[in-house]
Amino acid sequence: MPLPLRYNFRSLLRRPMRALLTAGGTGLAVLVAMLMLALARGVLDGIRESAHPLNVLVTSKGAETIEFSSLDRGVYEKLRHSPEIAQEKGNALASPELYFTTMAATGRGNETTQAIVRGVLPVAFEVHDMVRLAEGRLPSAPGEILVGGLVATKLGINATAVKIGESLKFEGNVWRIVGRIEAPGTVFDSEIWGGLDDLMTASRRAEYSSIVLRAADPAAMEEMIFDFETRRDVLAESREESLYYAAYAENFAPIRSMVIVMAAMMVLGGVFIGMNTLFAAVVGRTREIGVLRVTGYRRWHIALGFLVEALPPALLGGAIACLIALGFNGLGLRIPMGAFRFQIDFPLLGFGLFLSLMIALLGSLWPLWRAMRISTIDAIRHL
Amino acid sequence: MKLLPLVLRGIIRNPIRAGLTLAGVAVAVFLFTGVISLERGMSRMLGISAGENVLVVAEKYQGCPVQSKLPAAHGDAIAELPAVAGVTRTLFVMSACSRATDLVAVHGIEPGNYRDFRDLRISDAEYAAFSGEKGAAIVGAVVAQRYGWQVGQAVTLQELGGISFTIRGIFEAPGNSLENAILVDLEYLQLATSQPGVVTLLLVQPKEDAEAGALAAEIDALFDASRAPSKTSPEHAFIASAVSGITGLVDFSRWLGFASLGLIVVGVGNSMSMSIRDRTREIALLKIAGFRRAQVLRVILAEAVASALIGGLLGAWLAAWAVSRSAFSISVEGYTIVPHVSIELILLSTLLAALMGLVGSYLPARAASRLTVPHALREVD
Repeated sequence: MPLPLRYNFRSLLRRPMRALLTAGGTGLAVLVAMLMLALARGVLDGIRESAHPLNVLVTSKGAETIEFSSLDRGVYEKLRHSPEIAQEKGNALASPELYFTTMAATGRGNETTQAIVRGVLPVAFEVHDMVRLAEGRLPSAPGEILVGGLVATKLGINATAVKIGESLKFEGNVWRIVGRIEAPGTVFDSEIWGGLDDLMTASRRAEYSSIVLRAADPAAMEEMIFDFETRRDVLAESREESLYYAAYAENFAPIRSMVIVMAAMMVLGGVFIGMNTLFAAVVGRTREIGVLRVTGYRRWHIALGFLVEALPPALLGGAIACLIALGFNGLGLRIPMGAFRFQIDFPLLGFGLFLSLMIALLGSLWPLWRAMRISTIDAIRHL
Repeated sequence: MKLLPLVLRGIIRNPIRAGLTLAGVAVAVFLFTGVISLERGMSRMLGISAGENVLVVAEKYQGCPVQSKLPAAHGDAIAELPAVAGVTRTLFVMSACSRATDLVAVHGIEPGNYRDFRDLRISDAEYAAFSGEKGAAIVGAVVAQRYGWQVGQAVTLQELGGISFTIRGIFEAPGNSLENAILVDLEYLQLATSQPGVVTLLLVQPKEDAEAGALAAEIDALFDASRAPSKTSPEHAFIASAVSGITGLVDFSRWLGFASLGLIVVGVGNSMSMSIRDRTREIALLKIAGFRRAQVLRVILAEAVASALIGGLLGAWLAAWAVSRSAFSISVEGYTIVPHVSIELILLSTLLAALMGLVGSYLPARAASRLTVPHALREVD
């Protein structure tokens, strides 16, 4: 018969400081690991989720990214009538876009930081349907712009500086903010959107960066890409938007690897602390083990008892780590190609608790093995 | 010093506990050192890549420096300013901006005066061979090693529109982003990429008595009304602004690094409190032998600090070894940040570990020093 749970909990409460320190160590390890994973996931998922599975991205030949692409306006005129493009209220879902990075300052300041700007037509909201106007209105006059929810983070400024009615300075002009767009978890959230022609004039660019086309269905998408690639009158490169963003995300692989290694190291640190605690418990209670063996408990009953004692402090630490991690939910962080928001959701919280259990289990293996190897005779000698 | 044998005996009394404590400290310090090495690598890159007293002229408003486009003729106009000692023109060709990985970067340079601005370690013979041949290149040691390139090899970069060159030399520029670049003749690159007369950046060396800020303003005023207005800034500020996108990540990593040091406080504190519990009777004997509170406190604190120091040194040294062996680097806007662990960082990490050990063990040590003899002799489990 295993040891009664009451016995384990009483043992635990006899050494509250030890239990609390173990919980603290586990909690700290879990918290750092969770935040690192949230960072890796936020950056990579944010890039991947910016694509729509039916979108085709057209760029100039040889351009690996849209900022290095420049497409003649004629290309748009030639492609927009393709029969494979989906229609919405009689209009083809074809969005010519201008994309560039610039140095921007707030309306009241002069210090400039890097900003990402996208010039669009209203159809952009149809092809990038994760983007919605959350507040305000669309630009209707020259010099008006929309800002994403993470533009303030990207610019490293206070959110009040990019409220509706405020302005930003870039490309030699002052731009009035008339609306706020939201596209949570995507790259668009850290972008400034404005009228396509307006931004092309201001930035002295005559060519589009890319054209995003929504295919009617997967078969139409394949056909569209094949058609564009084989046409001789169009010098452009087309690919599935999801493949483009997946390749883009792959460029952050070194950061992902670094973060995963660091999270694993942190967990290892937690394991060492838990192992230390349990070793002390096993060695310090050799007499108790002897008594339990004499009274008929088997080796594995005793080992199980120690394991049951190792779990509550680890779970407590994990739970506290989850609570603290929740405080990071929604916080923005600037990264090279924009900004991202920490998303502490249920799967990540569950993973945090799972990690705390793993720390307890891994930290228990060696001490428990030692506990099981203590012979009854040796244990009784301690009496 | 008299207490040293006692301290050492305390550490080795329980080898498993000591080993686990050292391992925990080493892991935390490894993480801390690794994370801070990124920040140090960024400062090092800024310090080395930015020429002293060099001004950079780029296209006004351009957020991605490698996409800056200026007429090459701007260089001639700048060279005529009385406060200018020298000007060199460069054209960058890269496949992307805002990327995190190493990309192939080709810089078109003017071989005649480029070395006045950049410290390249290369033999004069190799540099002369490069200067005298339009389709020649010298490549950074890092990029040469990555692709296994040799001197004399002909290379074509398909990912950059088929640019071809023959390698005439391999140069070193430790810590400088240039080690990740391929240098070719400016005019050759302009023609190969169909950008005649276009440059990316102009590097300007002011005369010794010139005031850099005033010269920058004078240069920008020259082109303010032109079709290609410029933005001139000191090179250090220019690169710092270019890589500012990564500062959020670096700052966040730094905080995680400090959080990992918290593991030492908890780990050493836990270990010491267990050690004290096991040695309650010994502490009583020390007191009977005449040890005062402060001496008991010192013995226990010294034991904790020694453990943290050893573990810290191990972790910092392992981090330095791992960083030197790893090929990890982050590229931002054409500038490559390579993590760097200096002796100073190893010492800082080790000392911080010792400090955290001291903080973590203070409360258990104080409680132990306050134990009364009768209470301690009633040794509890």
